[in-house]
Amino acid sequence: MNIEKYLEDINSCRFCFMCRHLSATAQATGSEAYTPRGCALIADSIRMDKKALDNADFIQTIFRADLSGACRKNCNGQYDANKRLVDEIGLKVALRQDIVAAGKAPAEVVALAGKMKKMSVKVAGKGSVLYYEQGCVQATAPEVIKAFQKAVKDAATITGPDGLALHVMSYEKDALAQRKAFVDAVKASGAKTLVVSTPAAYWWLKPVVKSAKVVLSSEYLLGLKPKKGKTVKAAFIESDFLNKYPETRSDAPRKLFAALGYALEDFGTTEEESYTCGEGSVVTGFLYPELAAKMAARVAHLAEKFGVKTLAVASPYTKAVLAKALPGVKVVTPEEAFAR
Amino acid sequence: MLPNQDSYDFEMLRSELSWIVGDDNCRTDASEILAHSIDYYWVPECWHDRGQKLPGPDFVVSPANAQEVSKVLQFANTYHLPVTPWGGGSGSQGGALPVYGGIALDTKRMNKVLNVDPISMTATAETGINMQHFEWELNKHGFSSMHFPASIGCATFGGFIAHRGTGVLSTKYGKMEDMVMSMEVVLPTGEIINTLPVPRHASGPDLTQLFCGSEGTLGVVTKATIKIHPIPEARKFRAFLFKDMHDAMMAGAKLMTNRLRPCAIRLYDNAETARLIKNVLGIDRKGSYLVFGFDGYEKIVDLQMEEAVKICKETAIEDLGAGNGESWWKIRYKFFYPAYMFHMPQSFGTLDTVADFSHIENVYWGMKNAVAKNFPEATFIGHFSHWYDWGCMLYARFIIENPPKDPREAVAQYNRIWDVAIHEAIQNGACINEHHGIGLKLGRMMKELYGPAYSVLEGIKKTLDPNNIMNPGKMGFKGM
Repeated sequence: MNIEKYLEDINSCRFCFMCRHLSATAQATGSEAYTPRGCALIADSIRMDKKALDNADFIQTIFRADLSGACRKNCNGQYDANKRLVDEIGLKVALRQDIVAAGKAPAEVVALAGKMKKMSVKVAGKGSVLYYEQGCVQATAPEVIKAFQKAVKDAATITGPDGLALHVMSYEKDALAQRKAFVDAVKASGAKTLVVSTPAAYWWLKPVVKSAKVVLSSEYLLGLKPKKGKTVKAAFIESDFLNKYPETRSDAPRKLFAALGYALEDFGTTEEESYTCGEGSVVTGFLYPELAAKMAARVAHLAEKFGVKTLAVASPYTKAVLAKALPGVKVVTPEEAFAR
Repeated sequence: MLPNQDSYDFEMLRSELSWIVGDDNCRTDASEILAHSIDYYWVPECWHDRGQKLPGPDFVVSPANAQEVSKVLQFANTYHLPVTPWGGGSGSQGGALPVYGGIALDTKRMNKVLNVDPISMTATAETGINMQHFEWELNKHGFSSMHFPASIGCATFGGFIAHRGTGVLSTKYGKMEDMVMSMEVVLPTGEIINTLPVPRHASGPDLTQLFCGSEGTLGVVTKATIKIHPIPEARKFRAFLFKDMHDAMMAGAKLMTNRLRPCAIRLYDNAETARLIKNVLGIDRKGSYLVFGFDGYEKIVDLQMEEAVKICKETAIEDLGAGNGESWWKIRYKFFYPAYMFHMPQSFGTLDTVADFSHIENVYWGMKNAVAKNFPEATFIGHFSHWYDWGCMLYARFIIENPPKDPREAVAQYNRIWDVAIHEAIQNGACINEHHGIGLKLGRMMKELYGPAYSVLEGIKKTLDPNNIMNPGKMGFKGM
């Protein structure tokens, strides 16, 4: 089983409570099971008795639990360089892989994965800049794409799956095949720069796209020398992928907002918290909209309490979820801020 | 004994509960049951580790307020179902374990800060709030609870009240029972009561203190008001090394009996200095490490620090300086993260106890010698934290690297160590426990600790909870 590779993580998390205050799904639902402790107990139960893989409740929990990285960041922040880091995210993904391999994935996961597998990559236009017009953004926050294309009119576009959705749902072989097809298409386009709006795609593609430089849209827009506008006070929600996934730390969205005149104050209290409403899990909004709505309700409660009028967010995913839940609050992405 | 989940009468109970709290908040799924059947107590951890089936709740119920708690308790009285309150579930004594099944009453939905009063310097919150979240919200208002236990991120406000919890700065700011001003409690029979609004009065015995430390056996605390504090202008630390624990203890006691007001003092015995202080702080010395700090106005901090340093220099073998004190403060929670914490298959326990300065060293040596004599396979280490005008707390720990593989033998050995060590503590003038509580783990020792006075506690329990639904089998009270 894949989880056997994460035995140390199971042992680290199964009886540990230290990151509970940061567990995004657990905070939104009040559930014990979604914490790294709860998930590690499930993994351990399955490791000890494979029959537990038949437990539909366990399976649901593992697919619903967030992959924000908040708990991992808190835990690993305590350690010296010589200590082994705890990877509760790797454990959850590995367990999802075991569930999929056993043919026990929840019906909604099977359905979405089936749909994703049928999609293919297309490139339109030619140029040195290639903009990734992601299907999920087109479906949930098309204004972000429009805003980018208003600012950068001559970029070629690439559409279709990059494999990340399949990766988080743990159809790993298909995920890697899709990513390879995407990487090949970027190479064939001849583009020198690949611009992505979602930090998730940035994390997933940056290490493997070698033919072009992968940049966040905010990073690209910063290069266009944005003009400072009227000061806008806003609370800022950082992307999980940009501050909790160590491979892709970036403050480009924050810098772009600041360059445009936004006076940002971090939403929440510490950078370890996640208020992205399931961004790390990529497809939570599609698979479990009621769960994303609960996470958004928590943000809405805090926004109301602290009188937030404008929310600047680094991720189009977060924008899509929050725009629905906070009708009285303006939610803006870097692309939209730039276009304005 | 409840019917199984497939039966119609189980569904009748479940649906009745879900009418009270809503369908989403009455959970019966296997994930939630599993997560609520293990807390931070070594015994259920061992039981799980050895592949044994754990007793769990039948229902995990999350009420939104005192009214819903009241209805749940009335429901439980009707059907004689046990109710075990569960906050963060991070207690080490098994207090939140629903060992008789029934309802695990998860308080985390009651998580709002209701009022911050900057004039009286108090804050009122629902008790299911995570303590770190409570602290963060107070910080946004420019205040602090000054309650900084290692479990601040895990445990709820109510959990600390239920177990008389304490934090690193307790020496100056007190334990949870010193912080609490008043509270709202749902009694086992469902009545909602409020204790008197202030803790200093001459209007009869203090009901607030009755519920502090009652571990969910006398009702559910749903709301409480605590004292809050300004963020201090300065907080400074200093560390010293002493030849042995006795010299360090004398210096620490002198700081307190000279009536200096440190916010924290911690003394690690030679064994713990060699093991934990070396591993976590990187200070590799033979002796006992003593660290202390002061906070408040900087001038007053500096003056107190000067006096404290004078006292320590009389007997210390090395002044480790401010840097080695500050770094202890910075990494104070690190000891409890996985890479530094004890792990299965080790057997380990925190034999925490408290006594006055005249007795505390005898308590330490009594426990240490008893463990060494009866359990040569165990390592005994300890530190002294939470110092008061009259004494301090001993945070003693035992560790057995290779306990028996058989879970029954392992649990029996574990219980024997507790019995021997705690009996020794009581005989030497200490209390069973300082801030972790009694729970399931130490209930059997309550009669020895209290003597005839225990019947007073039993009488209170019987009066408030005639059907014995609230957390049965804990604190030495009878089970179901």
